[in-house]
Amino acid sequence: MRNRVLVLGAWLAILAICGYVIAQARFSADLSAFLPARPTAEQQLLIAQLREGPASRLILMAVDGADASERADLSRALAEQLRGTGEFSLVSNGATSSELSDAGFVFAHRYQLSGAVDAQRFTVPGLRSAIQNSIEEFSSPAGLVDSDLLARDPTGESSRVLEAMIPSLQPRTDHGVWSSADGRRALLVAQTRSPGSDLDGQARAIESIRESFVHASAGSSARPVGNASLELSGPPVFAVEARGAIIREAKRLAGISAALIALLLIAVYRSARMLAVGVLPVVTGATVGIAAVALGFGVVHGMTLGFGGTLIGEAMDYSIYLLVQAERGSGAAGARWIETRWPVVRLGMLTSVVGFACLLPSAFPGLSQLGLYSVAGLIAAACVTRFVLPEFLAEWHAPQAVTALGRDLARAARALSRARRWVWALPIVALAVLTAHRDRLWAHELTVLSPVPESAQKLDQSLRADLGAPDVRTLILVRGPSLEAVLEASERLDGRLVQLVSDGVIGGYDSPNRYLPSEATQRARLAALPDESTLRSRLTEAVQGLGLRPQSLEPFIADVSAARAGKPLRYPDLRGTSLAAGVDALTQHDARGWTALLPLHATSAAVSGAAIDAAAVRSALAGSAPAGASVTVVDIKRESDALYESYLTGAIFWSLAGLVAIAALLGLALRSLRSTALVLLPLLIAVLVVAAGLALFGQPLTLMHLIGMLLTVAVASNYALFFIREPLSATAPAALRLQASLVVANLSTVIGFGVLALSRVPVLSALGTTVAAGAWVAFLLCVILVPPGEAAAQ
Amino acid sequence: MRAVVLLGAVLLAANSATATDAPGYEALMAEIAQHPHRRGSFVEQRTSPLLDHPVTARGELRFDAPDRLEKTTLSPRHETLLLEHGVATIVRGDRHFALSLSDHPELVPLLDSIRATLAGDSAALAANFTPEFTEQDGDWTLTLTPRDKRAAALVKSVRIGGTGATLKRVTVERANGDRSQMDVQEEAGP
Repeated sequence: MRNRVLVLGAWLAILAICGYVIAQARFSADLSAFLPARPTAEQQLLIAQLREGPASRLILMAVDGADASERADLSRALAEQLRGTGEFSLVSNGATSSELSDAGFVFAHRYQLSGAVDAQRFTVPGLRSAIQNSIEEFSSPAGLVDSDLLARDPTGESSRVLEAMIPSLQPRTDHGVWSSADGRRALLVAQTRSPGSDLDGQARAIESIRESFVHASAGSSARPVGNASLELSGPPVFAVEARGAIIREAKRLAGISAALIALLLIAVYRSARMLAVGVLPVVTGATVGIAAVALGFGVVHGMTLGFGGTLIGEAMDYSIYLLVQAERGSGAAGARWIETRWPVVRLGMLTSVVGFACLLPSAFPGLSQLGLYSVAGLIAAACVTRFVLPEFLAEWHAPQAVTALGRDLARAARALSRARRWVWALPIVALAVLTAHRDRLWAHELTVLSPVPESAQKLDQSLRADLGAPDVRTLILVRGPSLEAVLEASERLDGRLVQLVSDGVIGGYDSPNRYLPSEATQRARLAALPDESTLRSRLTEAVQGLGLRPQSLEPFIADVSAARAGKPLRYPDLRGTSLAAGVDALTQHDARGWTALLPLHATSAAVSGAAIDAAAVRSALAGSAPAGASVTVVDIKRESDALYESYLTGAIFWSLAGLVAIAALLGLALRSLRSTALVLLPLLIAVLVVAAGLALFGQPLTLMHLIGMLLTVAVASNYALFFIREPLSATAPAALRLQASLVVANLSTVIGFGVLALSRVPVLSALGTTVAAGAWVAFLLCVILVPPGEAAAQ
Repeated sequence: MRAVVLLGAVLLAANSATATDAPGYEALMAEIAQHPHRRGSFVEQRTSPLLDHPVTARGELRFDAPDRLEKTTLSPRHETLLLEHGVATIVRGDRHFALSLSDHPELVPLLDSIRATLAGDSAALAANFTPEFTEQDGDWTLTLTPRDKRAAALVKSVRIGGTGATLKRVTVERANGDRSQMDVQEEAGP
């Protein structure tokens, strides 16, 4: 009795401590689970881009349904509502180019902003050709150029600046707003104010979009548009949905599988109390596992929680083994089980622990957390089964119905044993399939791990194509100690980048100095402006024969004189204009300094997919960084795929190491080469068969499949160990209960992971498919391969 | 307060009634509306107090009722103005500038008067302008004076002339003395 109090007390104390640790723990759901724990400098830039960059704040919207004019009305009403929320630094739907709304600001500061302003521009021939050009502007069909503009800006600097600010790639318009290429959706783009890593801010922004859409479609317009729908895409949407999706999906599916497993166990135990008791190892394991991760890593990734289900796979089995195998209720039943069967369960548990421990050294925090979670959780679950559960066995009446199940298994085994000689064909066929598919066996892209369903990724691609906003793949990052330093350094790239555009290596590029040139450059431009009398005399000469009266240009002379006396624009001067938004979008700063981002666009021929030759860009820019600044060319997709590739290679290596360690452990414990082989063979064949099956269905293998295989080995090693330990029997009651427990354990695993396989989140379904199929095949193979009477020989 | 608003409305109605009560205005509008698709070429002369000679532009016009007008200048340089559903888009090379007329009411006389006339949209015309209609020997002239103050600061009047349902000439007089005259040669409609 004292012993019992001690055990239960210790268990509850541990649970309480772990609960406290979990309550204090920080949970994260961002990309960092997929990013290296100890990044290189280049990877750090990549991570900063993925988490904080302007692309991470872009939301794409599509209005579907209704007719084109209703969609256009909706698009306008939605844009207006969104601008009013204050959540967005930019909302565009094509109705008015945001640059045009700042025409007044640009006009007032045209001599600081225009790249054409230099000494040559203000010589007689320079003035003459610029003025000639402006007179021709009178022929413009919109008639927006008039005498007033000609008199003040005869060299056309303001329209030059505005034109440079307008992106060259733009979506098609329909009824005055952006629409998809097929004309069936109206398109909008918004940039959130909150940074990409602030998921709560992003969630708020997304919520305000949805609310604004409801308002726009119901309230504002005279005719309510009921059948229009709104689709959202872009990194903030993905990030927010991913945070919810894995957890929500895991919860929903865990709920379904828990209900199904509970039904199964109720049918077997015929006792709700025992069902509750049977769940204790899983609950304890999960609690200890999460607490261990929180202590070991400081932060728990949502992904780790999402895979908490991995524990159900094995920890649930522990209690099934105990409760189904233990003999009819007496105090000694527990003691006897501990004596005869616990060593088998313990060995199975150690096998799994060794397998999962191999994930610990992974550079991928998601994987090493999963490793620690599983190791800690499995040990805790096994200990609860061993020390706590037998305390509840006193009043336990082991179900009699299960013996029938055991008998069925023995009969099935006899029938299946005839297949034994054919079983050897399985690994051969599987290996042949795997060899045939060896080139496309593994997925090599980071996106396969993305919790974003494929349909959403497709929508994103189609919206980007329609918006002429292909995912920015290649970026130049210019780093320096101050904003002025990075503006100067990126201006020095202009010449080389223009050369790359004319060479056809890139289609174009953006740069923050379109919106804010460096002070040095602005000062040089202002210094290039001639004084009043010089300008007047040059103008008289320049306009000869143009049919323009020189005295009509007095307003121009006055503006130039005023500009000469003016100061360069600084960042605070831009406040409230779209120029400030342009600078904000293309610069970042942190404790270590400033970064200017220069996104490169592919040539229009290559917009649909083909990449920019980053190496060519790199060599063209070599040596262009001034002292104190650095210039880096980053190919985001290639870098992140390379990152994933290195994880995958690492994970494959450590999994194979884990397999060797498992074999060594089994060899040591069983002290028989033959028994070790008999335990390992069904597991290995099962893994091969599942891998071949996935390859046959065209499913490239990912990290999650690999983890699933590891889990398969962990779960199924228990089956194999039991099967070689005790011969199949159709009569002996203890053997019948053992057999029944294996059937129930296998069924619960197949149910649990089979439900997970139905998930729309790729990582969850990959794990579910692999383990459900693997555990089932491994169980069948154990039944077929382990010869009856094997243990009788021992 | 309410009375003042009412009085204003009455005055407004009375005002437009006198302006366009000439026989044939509504009939002409109805006739114009019978031609929902139009094609034509134009020659436009821009004069400015700053310039000794007018600047001449040539190009093409396309109209599709009710709210799409495309004006493409082919010489001296290629540029297109597209008016569609209240948004004006200026296309120059691979660049587009778009502006919504509701954001820029001052540009309505400049950009939207021809479209509203060709659409036979007497309501839109009456909303933005004080129209005045005269007719002589089958030739008619519709003189549009902007109502919006800011628009009036830019454009004094738009005069649209034609014969029957056919558009012949559009003359824009600006407040700053600029003037443009566009002669239109319509193709025979389908």
